[in-house]
Amino acid sequence: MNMKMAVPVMIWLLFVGGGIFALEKYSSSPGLQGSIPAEWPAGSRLQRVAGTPTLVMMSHPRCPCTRASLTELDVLLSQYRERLTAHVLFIQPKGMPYEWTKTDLWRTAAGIKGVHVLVDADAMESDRFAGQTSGHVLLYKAEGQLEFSGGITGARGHIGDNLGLQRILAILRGVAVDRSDSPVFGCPLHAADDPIPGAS
Amino acid sequence: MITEITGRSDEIDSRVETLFERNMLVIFKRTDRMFAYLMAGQWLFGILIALVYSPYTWSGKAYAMHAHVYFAIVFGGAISSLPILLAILRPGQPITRYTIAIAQMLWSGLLIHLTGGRIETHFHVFGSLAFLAFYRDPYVLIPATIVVSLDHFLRGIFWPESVYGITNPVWWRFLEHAFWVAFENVFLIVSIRESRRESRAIARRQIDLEVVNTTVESLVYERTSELATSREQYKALLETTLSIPWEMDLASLRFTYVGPQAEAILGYPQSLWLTEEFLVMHVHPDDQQSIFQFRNLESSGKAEVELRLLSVDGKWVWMRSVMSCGTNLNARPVVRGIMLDVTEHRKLQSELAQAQKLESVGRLAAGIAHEINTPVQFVGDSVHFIREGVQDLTKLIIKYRSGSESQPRFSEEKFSEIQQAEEDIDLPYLLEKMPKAVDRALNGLEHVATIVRSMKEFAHPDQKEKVGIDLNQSIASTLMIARNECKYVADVETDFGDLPAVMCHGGEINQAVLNIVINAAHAIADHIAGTNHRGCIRVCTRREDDDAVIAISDTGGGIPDAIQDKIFDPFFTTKEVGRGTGQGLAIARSIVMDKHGGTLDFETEIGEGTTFYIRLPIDGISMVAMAHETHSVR
Repeated sequence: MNMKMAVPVMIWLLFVGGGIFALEKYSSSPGLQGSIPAEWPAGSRLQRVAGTPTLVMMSHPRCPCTRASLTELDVLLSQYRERLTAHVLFIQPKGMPYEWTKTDLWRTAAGIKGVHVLVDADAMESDRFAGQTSGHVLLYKAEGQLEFSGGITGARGHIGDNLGLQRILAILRGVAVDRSDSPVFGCPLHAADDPIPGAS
Repeated sequence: MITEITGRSDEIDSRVETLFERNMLVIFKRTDRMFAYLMAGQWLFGILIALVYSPYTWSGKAYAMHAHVYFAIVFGGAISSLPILLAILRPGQPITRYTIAIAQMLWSGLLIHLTGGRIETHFHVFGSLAFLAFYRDPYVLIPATIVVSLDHFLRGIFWPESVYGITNPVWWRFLEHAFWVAFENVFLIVSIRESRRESRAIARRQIDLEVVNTTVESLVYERTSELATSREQYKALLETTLSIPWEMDLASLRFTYVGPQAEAILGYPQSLWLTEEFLVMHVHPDDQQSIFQFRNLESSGKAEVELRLLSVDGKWVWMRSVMSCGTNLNARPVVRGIMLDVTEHRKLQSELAQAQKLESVGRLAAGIAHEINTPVQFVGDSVHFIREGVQDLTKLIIKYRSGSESQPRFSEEKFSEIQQAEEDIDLPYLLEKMPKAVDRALNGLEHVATIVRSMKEFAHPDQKEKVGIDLNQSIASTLMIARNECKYVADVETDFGDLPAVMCHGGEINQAVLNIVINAAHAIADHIAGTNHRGCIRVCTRREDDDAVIAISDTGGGIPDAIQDKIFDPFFTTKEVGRGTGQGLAIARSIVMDKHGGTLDFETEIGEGTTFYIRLPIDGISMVAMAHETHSVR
């Protein structure tokens, strides 16, 4: 090997190694999670079907990371579509037009069978569930108790095997899980200067 | 030759390996270049993917540029930059392709991130490995595999959920991923080995082909050289001899080719020879008929012709042609031949005829001299006897007359008859003139006898061994022989010194002296032509140490500088045809120097004359070969 080139190659390796680390670090940094109500919020306008658990995903209509969450949701519903009620809420921040929510994510969510896609005007519904990060999934029992709260991707915008999905699937199969949460990877639903209800 | 063609096996192997390495280097460089483009393309693609899939990150209604875009631009640029740089600056080097392999795997990781971990993007890893196999260097797969394995290993430690979807995978979980990479590597390595084997086989075929080509080229070069040499030899043979090769169109009698010698012999440029009517215009009128007889040559017929051609300086040059009929490349009938300048040959033939004639005359003269000698002797003896008889008779007659006058014994009548008879025959006159007439006859006979003796001495038969000769006597005899050549133009003077007998071949020395004396007479004749003057030929002999020296001087015009070096050359002559053969001085030199070990020099002065010096060893033994051609000029 040409030793004259060894030094610049080593420097380059360090640089790109650092880049890989930064990328992984970024991708694996979860968003905030608020104090999720342990019981189905009384004021919620979301419809529930008696005798079936209800799944709620709070989403930002323009968060690119949420595309992976919707993909994983599709995987989940492909198996349990008939056994639960699923809602995907796309927040419509105050001041933003209705059409602002009609993004490709909306169309993706609308394309998933068994999903109720809703515009969450002024993020009121999300606020009831104390949602802070796009892609946050909540699973409530038919009786209204919270069974799971967390993300269903392994990293920011990353599809594939992940803890959240595995735990939800286990819950739905009736298998005991060690934990009923998982990190949520996605964009903040609220701007930094907005008051965040239920922030922990 | 076979050894040269095939070469040594290890040498061939070495050449094959060199070519293989060279071809591999070409592949390395070409693949480096492809990856350089790919690196740039991936960079742009990564930025595009980031801009399309994740242009912004949002917080409520606020947004900012997504980190993926920055990663695509900065990190992607960093990944691609060094491989591109190395591909440009260090193409073909191992570090370049190993760096490219690392970068390509990093690109797989980045693209997977940018596309949200889509399973399809993972094919980039396997596609990249296959692409890296384009290098046909199995070692390039090692850094690629290490990068993939290390990525999964470290992520399994630090961010296990992002890669395995679980929080606590077993440490060797990364091997599962590495296995599939290795799995592909197996096929790629097999493929690479096969490819390298084929490349080596191609290199061997190429070397074999080069060896064959080299051999063929060598053979072609060798044959071409031989052909060129042969052509040069043929050309030299054809064009550097005195013979002029030529070809002539039979119908037009126009030369279509003549050798370059033609220009030197007749003085006309080659191009002029090739013009129409050249031959007709330059052939002697008496020989015109000969050239038209060319046309009578039958195909493949052969002939020899001698004819005269006019040279550029106006002289007729005899040319002998040997020719044959044929056809040229256009199937036109042509005559081809060799032409030789035989003017000199003709001249020699004439000289030879003259010499033969002179030889015959000489032989006749020698024979006559021999035959005359005996009768001249007995005629002389008889005349001597007659003279003595006449003297005696005269005395007797005088006594008779005196006795009869004082004491007449005859009758008066008888006495008167006697007196009448004496008056009738003019006895007093007879008595006065007859002895003188007999003396004149004797003088004449003596002169004839001298000439005959001289001729006999001159025509001294050649002895195998040298014998002691009275050189002065021998030269005197020779001068007698040459008298007729000299007497009309010059007086001959001699100054013979005391010489002992000189050991030599007398007849040959006489010949040498005669040739020089005749040359002297001719030189004087040329010099005094048109005047009433007479020249002088002076022949001196003297002894110098152990040598006898003969000096023959003439008062001719001298020898010009330009020909002084040539006068001893055979056949060199300034005389017209029939007067000299150009052999005289050459023969003289040969006799004096080669046969007697002497020297033959000359001194000359233009307008005054020339003196030739013959120096002969008296004892006939030459201890030192004198410088043969030295001469001095006054």
